[in-house]
Order: sequence, then C-alpha cells, then structure tokens
Amino acid sequence: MANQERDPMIDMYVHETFQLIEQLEKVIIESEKSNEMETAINEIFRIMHTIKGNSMMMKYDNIAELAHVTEDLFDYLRTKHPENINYSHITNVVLDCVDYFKEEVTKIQNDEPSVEKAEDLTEMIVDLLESFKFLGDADSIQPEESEHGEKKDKVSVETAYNNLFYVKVVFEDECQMENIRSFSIVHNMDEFGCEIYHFPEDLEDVDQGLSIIKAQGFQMILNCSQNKKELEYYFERVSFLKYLEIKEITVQEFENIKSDFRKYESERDDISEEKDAPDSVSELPEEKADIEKIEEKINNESNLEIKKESKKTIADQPHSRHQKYINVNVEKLDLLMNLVGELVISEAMVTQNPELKRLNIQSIEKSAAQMRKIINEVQDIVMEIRMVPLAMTFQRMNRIVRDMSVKTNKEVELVLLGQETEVDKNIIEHISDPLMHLIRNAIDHGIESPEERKKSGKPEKGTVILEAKNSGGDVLIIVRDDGRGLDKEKILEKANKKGLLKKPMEEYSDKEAFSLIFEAGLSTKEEVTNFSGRGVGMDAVVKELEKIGGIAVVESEKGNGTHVTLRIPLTLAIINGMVMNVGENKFTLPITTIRESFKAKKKDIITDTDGNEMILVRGECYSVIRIHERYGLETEIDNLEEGIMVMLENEDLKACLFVDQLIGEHQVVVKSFSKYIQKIEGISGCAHLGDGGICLILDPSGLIA
Amino acid sequence: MKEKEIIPINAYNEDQQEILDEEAQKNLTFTIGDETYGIQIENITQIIGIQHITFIPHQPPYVKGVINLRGQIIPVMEVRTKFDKPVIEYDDRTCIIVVNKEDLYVGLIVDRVSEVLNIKESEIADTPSFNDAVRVQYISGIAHVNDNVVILLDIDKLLENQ
Repeated sequence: MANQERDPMIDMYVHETFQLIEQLEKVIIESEKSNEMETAINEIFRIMHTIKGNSMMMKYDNIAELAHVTEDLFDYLRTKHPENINYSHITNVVLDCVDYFKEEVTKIQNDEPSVEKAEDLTEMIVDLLESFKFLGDADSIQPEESEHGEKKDKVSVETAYNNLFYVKVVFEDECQMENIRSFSIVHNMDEFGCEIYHFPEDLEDVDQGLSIIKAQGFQMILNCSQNKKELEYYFERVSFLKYLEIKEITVQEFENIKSDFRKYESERDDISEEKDAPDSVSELPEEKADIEKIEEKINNESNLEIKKESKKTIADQPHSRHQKYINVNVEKLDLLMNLVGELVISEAMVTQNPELKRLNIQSIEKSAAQMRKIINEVQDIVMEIRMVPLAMTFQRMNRIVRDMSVKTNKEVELVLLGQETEVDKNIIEHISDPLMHLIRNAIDHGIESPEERKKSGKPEKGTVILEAKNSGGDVLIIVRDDGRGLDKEKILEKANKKGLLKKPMEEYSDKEAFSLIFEAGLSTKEEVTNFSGRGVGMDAVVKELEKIGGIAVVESEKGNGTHVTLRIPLTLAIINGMVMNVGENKFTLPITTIRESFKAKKKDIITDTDGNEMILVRGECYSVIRIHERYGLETEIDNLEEGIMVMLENEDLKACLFVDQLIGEHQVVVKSFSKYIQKIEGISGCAHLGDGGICLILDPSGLIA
Repeated sequence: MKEKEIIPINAYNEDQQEILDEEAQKNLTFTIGDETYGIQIENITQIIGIQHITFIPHQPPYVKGVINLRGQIIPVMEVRTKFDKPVIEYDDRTCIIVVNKEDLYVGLIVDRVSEVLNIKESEIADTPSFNDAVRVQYISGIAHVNDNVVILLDIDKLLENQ
C-alpha cells in the first residue's frame, strides 16, 4: 500500500517544499533590502520547521538535518534577540541553504538519488549558533541546549522518571498513511530522548495498525525531559492533526497504561480477527483520568488559541501573500474548460428549445437570460484561470541580482515594472531561464564598476529595469540596464574572428550587429566569469523563446545602456479572434493580424490579365483572396460589393480576404486538428465557439503565401 | 445456445476454450443500404445520433468534417462514400459511431446501427476474392449468422486516410 501511495506523496512534498523555498528566498531578500531582520526571523523559523517536518516524514534526512540546524539557529535568534549580530552573514547562510534545498528537491523530483550531504553547511550553521550562544548571555540555558544534551545521554533515561505524559492524536480523515505519520512522531520523540510506548505497537503492520490509528487515533505515553509546552509546541506542528490530547500522568498511571498497552497488544494478537477488540482498548486509559483530561483540555484549548492568534499576526503581514494562490493541475483546467463548453451547448439546447419557445413564457426567458449571463462569466473566468501574473517570475530575479552584485562587487538595483501582467501558464515556464540569462548578462557585461561609473558621471549604483507590458496580442518583456552599452566594433570583430559574419563588416547596421549577440559562440567579454561570458546563454535565450513563438530584439547606445525586448505571445491556448462567416462556415482570424475591414467599391476593384482580383485602398494595391473560392465553399454572396473585405497583415505582406460578413470578436480556445485531417494550407487549427459550434482558424502566413 | 448443446462431451474441455475466445468476439453491426457490416466492439467509444458537422476544406470526399463531442473535436467520415455508394440524405436513424484506434478518434457515419452480435470463429468465412459493392481491402472476413451475412471490417484499414 505504501508503495502505491508513494508517488502522490512525493509530488506533494516536492510541490510544497518548492513553494516554501520560494517563500523563504523572498523573505530573506526582502529583509536584506530593508536592512531589518527581526520580522523575517519568525517567518524563516516557521518555514524551516515545516521543511524539516515534511522532509523527516518523507525520510529525506539530508534536507531534514540541514533544516533542523537552521531551525535551531533561528529559534535562538527568535527567542533570545541577541544583539550585535552580523545579519548579512546569516543571509548568506540561509541563501546557501535555499540553494541546497533546491538542488536536493530537484533531485527528488527527478527520481535521482541524493548524494551530497550538506555537512559543511550544517557545520557552519552549528558553529554560528555556538558562537552566538557564546556571545549571548551564558547564564540562560536554551531549551534547545537541553534538548541536545538529552540526545547525547539518551541511554541514561531508561529508568529515571522525568515528565510523564499521555498523548493521543487523531489524524484527519483523508490524510493517508496514518501509520507512517505516527511512525514519524515516534521517530521524533526518540530524537528528543523520550522513552516512548505506543499503541498500536506495530506501525508497519499496514492492515491492523493502520485501521486502529484510523479508527481511534494513535496513543502513546512518554517519559521525557521536555515540559508540556514543548511537547505541545511539537505536536501542534504535526500536519493533518484533527485532535490532540496531551496530559501529564503519574508514575503509577504510566506503568498502568504501559502494561495496558502490552495487554491489548497481546489480546490483539490472539483475537486479531475480531474487529471489536481495538474499540474496547481505547476506552480504558481514557476513562482513567477523565477529570484530569477535561482540565487539561481546557488548558490546551486556551493555549492553542493564544498561539493561533500569534500565528495570525504573522500571516497578516504583507510578505506572506503567496498563501492566496493554490496550484492546480493544468489538465484539470483543460477538462474544466471542455465541461464549460458543454454547459454552453446544453444551455443553448434547453433555452432554444423550439417547443419551449412556442409557449412564449416570459419568466422562463428572463431566467434563461440570467443563466446565460452566468455561464458566460464562468466561461470567461475559466479562460482567465490559465493566465498567471509574471510577478513570481520577476521576484525570482531579485535573488539573481543580489548574488551577482555581491560577487561582481557592483552595486545594482533591480526595478520591477508591470509585474501584474498576465501570460499563459505554459509560457511562464519558458521565460524564467531566458530572463535569468539576460539579467546576469546585464549586470556582468552591462553595468560598470562603481569607479568606472563615477568617472563617466553616472550614479554609482547601476539600475536594471525589468518591465512587462501588453502590446496587442503579445506581451513585451524588457530588460533595460544603464550600463556601458554594446560595442558594435567589438561585436563585429569578434564575430569576424568566429566566422559568423555573412557580409562585409561595414555593411552591418547597428541593429544587425547587435542581434549577433544572439548567435551561438559569441561573447565579447574578454574573460570568462562565473556567471556569463562563455558565449552560451544568449543563444539559449533565443532558442527557449522560439519554443513559445517569441522573439528578442536588442537596442543599445554606447555608454547609455542596453535594452533587450522579448516579444512573447500572450497565450498559446486562447486567441482573441474575429469570427466571420462564409455561407454556413465560420472562420476566425487572430485579431492582431487584422488591419481593417471595409466594404469594397466597384471602382476600386481591378482584375489583371490572369483573372486575379486586386483592390485599391488609399492608392495601394492588394490582392483579394476569396475564401469561398479558395476552400470550395457554398455561399450566396459572391459579389465583392456585397460581402466584406478584411485586410490582414503578416510581417510585411498584406492582402484582403473576402468573406460574407463579420460576426464579432471572440476569445476562442485553439485546438489542433486530429491527425486524421489532412493539412490545409492557410488553416492552422480549429476552435470552439461559445455556442458549441466549431470555427476554423485562418493562418495569415499560409493564406498570403 | 443451440450450438452449445450439440458439443460432444468428450471434446468439451478443448471446445470450452474456444467458446470463451469466441465470446470475446463481440461485434457491433450497422447497415449501409442493404448490407450489414460489423466492427469489433472494443474499438467503439460511443454511438451518437447525427449532429451538426463542421465542414473542413481540402479533404478526401468521404471526410465530412469535424464534430464537437463533449469538447473534443473529432473528424467524421462517411462510410457510404468511402465504399463508393450513392449519397443519401441523413435521417433520424443516421448514426455516428465513434471509434478509437491508438488515440485516434474518428466518427463513422452509417445509415443505422443494428445490434451487438456474438460472432464465433466458426461462423466467419475467409475474405472472398470477388467483390461487388465494397472494396475487399477493408474487409477482415464475412460471417454467416442466422442466415444473415455480416461483412466484418478491418478498423485499421478503414481509418487509413490516404
């Protein structure tokens, strides 16, 4: 069973951890920017704790270990508020952790074995913590310290009674793998140096152990050095807990329950067939301390409430706004989109029902109109859901800029504009890497050193502006730096050396020369640095962009910086199209390719000697493509004056399409044809219309060619 | 049932296997004109009534276009035209049989759907070498069931679109 469940669990873990890491990175960078660590400490502590918990449960010890020591470090910072601490050092350490986590989680995601242990990093953090502790007040003893101490002389615990507790936990109904979760609790308690007895005892016994935990929760008695608060603190953070009960018990009770556990265990073995047996089991220890229990419960609850409140205040702070988003499998969205499409059809079937119409009932028509409105809204929203703001991708660049500016000793500020611009989910995945390359390049090659900048009269701090904006059906993403700009001569010289030039050097315009930087193997930087200069990267940018139908354009002015503009289609799945019909057939043209539409006048129409029709518009001549002739469609309108002309433009080619009439502008979901359909010149696919019909999507480049 | 009863007892074990195999051969039969055709049931996804077909230009004459089936866009072909039979008007008994072969979904327009028939190995004769109305290339065999002739179609060949 455990094996079957493995995959979704790992997926969930990877997903969750990536989110946490992202959040962590953001928090730390923000805190560094604002030069104020205090508010971030709690957040980082919380994240580290969750990462640790998750990783432990999934048995990713390498990650768990590192998260554990980092958590210790931040717990110290959180509780002791030490002064005179070099936070930039801590920032670096945390960022190193982030990198390590990223690497490891990626490995998990790809099913690769984890090889590296983050020993250096772990040691570094432990040392750091020690040094803080040393610097801090030596008199106060940390709970963590006692915890560590306990771990070391675990052996001596056996007979000594410290604090005794009875703990019962019940997991949420749907949480799955209760036995493994219980096991991880036991494992953690072991680490705390607890003597622990639990029921059911055999957690690996999937059939019985699991069903008992599911039915009545997981019970344990603990003999440990921690006080109740500390235990509460731990248990509250165990995920998927529905019910938690912690009560202090006496030595006598401890021994009683212990023997009870054993008794049930042996009873269970004897009559394991009998389903009722475990039920009677839980009653006994519970009854024993009924009054105590109630008291404790009240205490617990009030404690919990206080803690919840304090958590809330953390959550209310602006830097945890990520919580507003959930991630959804895109396939589910596709399915939803199809279902909504069907809903639209069946709505039409019901409301347009001829028999119903004949009855002519006004109230029904009213309700139907309302329903149609709602369904249309649902449809719009489903289409919108696929769109994701660029903010997350942009935020990630903060980290790149920070790393680069530290390591290149350049002061750089990143300005983000138009973060709210939305693009399709599929596209976002493809622009992250290109952006990273571009920003690295901008800082490494573009921005000068502070001294150099001073000399040329620029502010010492360089600026990189990352901007996104909508432009028709495309999104423009612009990376702008105020650095030294591109050196045309240098680029040409280098390209010449590499044999990349296709014509004499003098004939290259600025634009052509600059676009050479996207060729493979060209880097104008004399020395290769850690980040850029190896001449891969820029061509990788272009290749990645091509995958999503995007292009890159460079503009630059020597001494004044470089602009790289990425032009990317808004979405691959939905286009804004003009729907038009020819006879009974409907066609869609991407609205961005339409110049204008107009009624033709007879005097403007010219026919050449081969019978090709052309039309004169404002002194220019365009060829006329009659869609019905081209595709052999039946229509009653074949007089050019009766139908409508749609002028379309593709790159530099223009032509006029002749169709019956325009129906209107619609957002349509693009579908490719089944392979059963033979390729048609000028038609790139088909799309659902709102009424459940299908229209064909015209491809301007195919039509004009 | 009748056939089962006349199985000689001593040969029972051997034949039982055959019966099981034979029972797996369920065929959906449909008619075009006066002829009955059969396709193996495991290739069939759904049977729907005739609905609006969106014309797709520049296709072979038997490819009538595409339909919107629960959000999926599926090409449809007219079996009548594929078999070079005269075109008739669609009526309310005209059906589209959606067949599926390795993720390729295609709707077959047929005059009417008849029934699901168990066809046994013994009832299937080899493909005849002569041919009057249907091109032999799409036929995998001819079955005689209860005095009726069912032409069994080879779905792979039927879906080839060249």
